[in-house]
Amino acid sequence: MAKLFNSILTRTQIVYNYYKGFMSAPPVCRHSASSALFILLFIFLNIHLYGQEQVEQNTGTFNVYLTTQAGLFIRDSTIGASGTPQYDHQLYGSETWLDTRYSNWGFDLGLRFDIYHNSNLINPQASFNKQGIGRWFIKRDVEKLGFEAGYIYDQIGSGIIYRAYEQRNLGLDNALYGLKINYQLSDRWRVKAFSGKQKKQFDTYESLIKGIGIEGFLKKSDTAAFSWAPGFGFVNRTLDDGSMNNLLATLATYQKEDQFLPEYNNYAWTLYHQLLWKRWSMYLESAFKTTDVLNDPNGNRKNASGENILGPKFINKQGHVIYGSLNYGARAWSISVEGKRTSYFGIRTRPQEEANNGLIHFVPAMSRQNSYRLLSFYQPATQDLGEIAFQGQVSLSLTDQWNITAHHSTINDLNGTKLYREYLMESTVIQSEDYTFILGVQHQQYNQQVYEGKPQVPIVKTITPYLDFTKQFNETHALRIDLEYMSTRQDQGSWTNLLVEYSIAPRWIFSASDMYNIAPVKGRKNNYYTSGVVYSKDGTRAGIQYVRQRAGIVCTGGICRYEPAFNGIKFNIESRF
Amino acid sequence: MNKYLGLVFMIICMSCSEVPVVLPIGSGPSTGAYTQNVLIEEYTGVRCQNCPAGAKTLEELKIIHGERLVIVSIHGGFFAQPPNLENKLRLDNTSGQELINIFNQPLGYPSGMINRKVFESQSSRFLGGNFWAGYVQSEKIKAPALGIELDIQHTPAQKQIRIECDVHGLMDLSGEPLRLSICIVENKIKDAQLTPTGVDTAYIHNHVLRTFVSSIQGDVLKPIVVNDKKTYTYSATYPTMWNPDQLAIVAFIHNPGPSYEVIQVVEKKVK
Repeated sequence: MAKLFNSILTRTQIVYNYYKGFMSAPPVCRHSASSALFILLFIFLNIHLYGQEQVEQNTGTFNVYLTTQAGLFIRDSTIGASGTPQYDHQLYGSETWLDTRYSNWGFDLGLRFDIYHNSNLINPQASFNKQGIGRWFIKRDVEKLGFEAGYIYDQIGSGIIYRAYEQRNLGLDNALYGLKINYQLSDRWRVKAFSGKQKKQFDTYESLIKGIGIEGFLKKSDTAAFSWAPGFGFVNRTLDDGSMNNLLATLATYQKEDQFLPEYNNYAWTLYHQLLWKRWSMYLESAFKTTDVLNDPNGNRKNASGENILGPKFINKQGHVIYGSLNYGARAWSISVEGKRTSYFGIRTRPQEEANNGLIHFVPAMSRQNSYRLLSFYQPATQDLGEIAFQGQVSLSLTDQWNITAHHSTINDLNGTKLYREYLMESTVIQSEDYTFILGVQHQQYNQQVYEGKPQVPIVKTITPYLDFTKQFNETHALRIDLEYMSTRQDQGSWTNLLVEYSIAPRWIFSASDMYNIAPVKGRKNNYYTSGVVYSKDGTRAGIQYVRQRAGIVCTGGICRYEPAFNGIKFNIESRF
Repeated sequence: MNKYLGLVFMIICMSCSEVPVVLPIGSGPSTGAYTQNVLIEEYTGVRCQNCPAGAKTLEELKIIHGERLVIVSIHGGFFAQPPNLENKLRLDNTSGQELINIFNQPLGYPSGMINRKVFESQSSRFLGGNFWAGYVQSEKIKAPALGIELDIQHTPAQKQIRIECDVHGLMDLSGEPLRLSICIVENKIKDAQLTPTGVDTAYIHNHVLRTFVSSIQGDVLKPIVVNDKKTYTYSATYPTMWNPDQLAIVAFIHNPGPSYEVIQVVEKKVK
């Protein structure tokens, strides 16, 4: 190790001198794509050369993951697919992530090249056109001590006080740009500490985020039925001067009764544990946040003339989240129950950020993750300011081939106002090597006024029966038909969805679908066709689709965003080298 | 184990008290004949239920900053069209659409561009209402690089407006390829607007962009040097449905693309 380190130091000096000769000033370690690339390639180069010279028998692993999604935009004003640069004049947009990983000598190194070409992923109404190093990291564990530097993805507990994560399909990349150190205190306990700034596309926010987490895993023996995994976490965010001054200027415009003095520092801590006993598992987490500035999107304040202003307003509140889940799984049946109470619990890099921007934590959503199109039409997003929610699911295996699932979700705000209800029954019959038959029905009640900010609209009530049938003709050929019908008299009215998919394993999937607003509340009826083909070989999966897609709210894992209407051709490639 | 936990708790429980911050007061320094004014171009629409709150926020800022804050409300984009069934007028126009073609649409409405600038730690020119007050304040305290004076002659019979725009150099900007943009805005237009409590048919719209008198990208200026004064003259006629008592001229000098940053702005009523 010492030899390796000395070798790197020597090469550092050589390359530094060489580099200096071309530059008027010595290289400075700044947060820029070029310097990051230089540092990482330099480390790569040294370690790689050292490996070739000194440790010929030692081979590392090098992986490359490529993800590309591109779209040809074809204007169709009848569904709202118009009026953006992509439809008006750019005609094409794409996003690519080329993720490389190298592991050797105990180091993990990563470099990701991100390309956004006329992309509408960051802002669906605009065009984002940048490329560069989207992520780099270096990671090493030496006995009990380990570190990771660069862009770090991590979380404490279930993420309620801190979660640095990526959700590409929503345009989210909340990596922490900084340093994490972890230490194994004993066989059962480990501690980690981190500090950095949150990533913002190819830049960072200026606020500082620091934290510490301690986790344990206690089990008497490998065969013991009982285990306990407790944990504690603490996170501090310090506002930068620019954000604070901006915030103070806004608060100065408020009337005296609405004014308050914010603080630079916000503190949040959480205590959590998971118990496993035979077939039971229980998770409990309780988090608390000190008084901090939150943006109330439905605030009410008076202006100097005494008029009410209904709209975004800063408030200064303490917050908490209590979250728990209980699961039991037997051979013939299983049950899971979850509950959550949230009160003024939103932590952002700065309070001015809205929607999904600048979130440094993640509160789990309390609704079923539905994969069928019409079942996931209305998805409730987590409400930072306050909600009380429960959900439960029971699954029964009546025979070896027949399963029944019942699910219920209920979400209210802290005043008892109904936000969301879901009732679902699903029957699945699997006749192995012959067919799979899924039949179900879902009922939803969705408070569109709260979740989508639409004023004076009634609660959307839906009843959605669905059927999913897959016929396996032989070992490779299968036909799948998915039929859904959503009945509602609110919002956009009733919809149908039909999907036909023919697969020739393991290479080909051909699909065609049509989503149709069969009984619109207003406006014209539209067909939203999709048809395409997906080809898979080795580690590569490529697809091409014609897509005509309505505008709507898309939610993943409780995080939602507006997705504009699309009409055109989409290409996708996912490959692992 | 306990000693480690004790150490962690000790660190956490260390004093967390801060020296309290102070809310800013006053409107900032203004020296000489000219002050640095600030332009905010608000993107709004009659179907945007949060835009009335944004408009009231702007009016509050206007009370605080007076003539040093110039507001232009641009109706356009997906919250402007199609309008509410109750709307009798059309507030979006080709000038607004051309601005959207240049700057794109913001992610959410209302959004505002302040001096068309991408501020540090921001990735877009468009800023939500939570940022407006702070950036208006920080832009206003700068020393002005030039001054603008407007002289307006109105001929009601012909519905014609003649605009003389004097540009005074306070700093040497001769190397800057600056441009002059001039537009007409109208206040107190009564028409429907969606609000959080439904459609308000008697809503009053202020600072509504009507049209650009100059080209939408701005007209190229002659080089500006210290103590130099140059005059640019424009004329425009307006349609009968516009109320001349509520019309105002906004003139601003800015960089061309890709910067677009506004250097100075003034507003003057037609009558």
